[in-house]
Amino acid sequence: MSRRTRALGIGTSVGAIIGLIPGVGGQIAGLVAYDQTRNFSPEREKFGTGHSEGIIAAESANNAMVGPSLVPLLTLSIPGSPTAAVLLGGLIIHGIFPGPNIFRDYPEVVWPFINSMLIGQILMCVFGLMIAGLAANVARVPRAVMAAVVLALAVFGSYSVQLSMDDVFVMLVLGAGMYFLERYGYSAAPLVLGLILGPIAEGNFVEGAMIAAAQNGVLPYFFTGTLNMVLIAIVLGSIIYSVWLEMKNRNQGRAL
Amino acid sequence: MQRFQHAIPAGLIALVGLWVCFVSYTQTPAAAFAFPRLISTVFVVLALWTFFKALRDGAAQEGGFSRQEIARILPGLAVAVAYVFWGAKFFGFYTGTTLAFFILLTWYDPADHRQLRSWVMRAIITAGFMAVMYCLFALILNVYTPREIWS
Repeated sequence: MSRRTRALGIGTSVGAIIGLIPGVGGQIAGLVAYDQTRNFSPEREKFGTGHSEGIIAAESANNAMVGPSLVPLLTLSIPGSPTAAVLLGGLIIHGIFPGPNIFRDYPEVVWPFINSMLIGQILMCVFGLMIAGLAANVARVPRAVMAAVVLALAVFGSYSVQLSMDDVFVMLVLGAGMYFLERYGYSAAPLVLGLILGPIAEGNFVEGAMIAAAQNGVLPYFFTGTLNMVLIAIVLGSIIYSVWLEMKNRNQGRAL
Repeated sequence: MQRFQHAIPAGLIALVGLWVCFVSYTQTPAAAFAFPRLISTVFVVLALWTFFKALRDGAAQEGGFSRQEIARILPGLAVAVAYVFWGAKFFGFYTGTTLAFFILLTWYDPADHRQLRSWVMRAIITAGFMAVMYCLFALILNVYTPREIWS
């Protein structure tokens, strides 16, 4: 398997999984896929310089999460991406409140909805191939122009969401801070995930703790049952893998 | 300085973690702050680990900035800070953005500043970009922006 195919596979898989998580957007999917592909790549040092593997992983994840983001939208009314949020607004305007019963109550809406996504993917592939060459010219824009354009767009974009200068201040502080931190090896993905998923996780944790207190206690509630054990095993596996990877890299560094 | 530059961000993150941890453990009732306590404890452990690792490995770690890079980034950052925290409100959004855009473009443009042609090119790029921004945000999206000196 070529490295680009592997990057495409990782990006698509990560995007599809992250798309299923309520409230997580394409940026997170792209960042996580980028990080994972970098971990597996033998040319890790080239990431961040426009390396094709990183671009393929981030963009394929960004696209792959669109379809799965409809799952939390249609079943739980929770949009998984900005596009899904717009779709939710459209459905509510027409008096359709997504939920577990939507497939039974509104099949004439749901299935055309899903089929149009499939057709959209095919059309996007065709048009994407047609305009890819033209779009690549963006990379030729001089850095001086790009820096000024990005700053102006970031300010206008963050201001226009809520017409608030506070959002612009937060954007600049986090943007500049993250620019420096990324150079020291810190990834933006966990920070953004924490900001988005933190309130959701806290709400569910408090709810779970209250149910646990009313039942057998916190320990049996959180640490028994197949689903809990599988999730705990995944978390532990992820931590152990990270530590192992860190030790392996250090040993390789010493050998060089 | 170069040797400890990885320790600075790691130390700042550890301090933020310790502050969050302190705040969460000094608030009551305990049950309401169980989640922040749990998360901030993990955060502090990881942050301290990263901090001591940065101290131990020093300049041997990847990444970081050279003095030349810092010198190149700081003027752009200063323009961005002045524009966002003062210029955008004082001059109004469009005038402030035009000024910041032109200053950034001039500062980072490698073209010869003694040639009139390069100044004209920068002025045309700035005017063209701002025209697009005005059409998009003011005319199409109807976004109300601060006008200040024009109000």
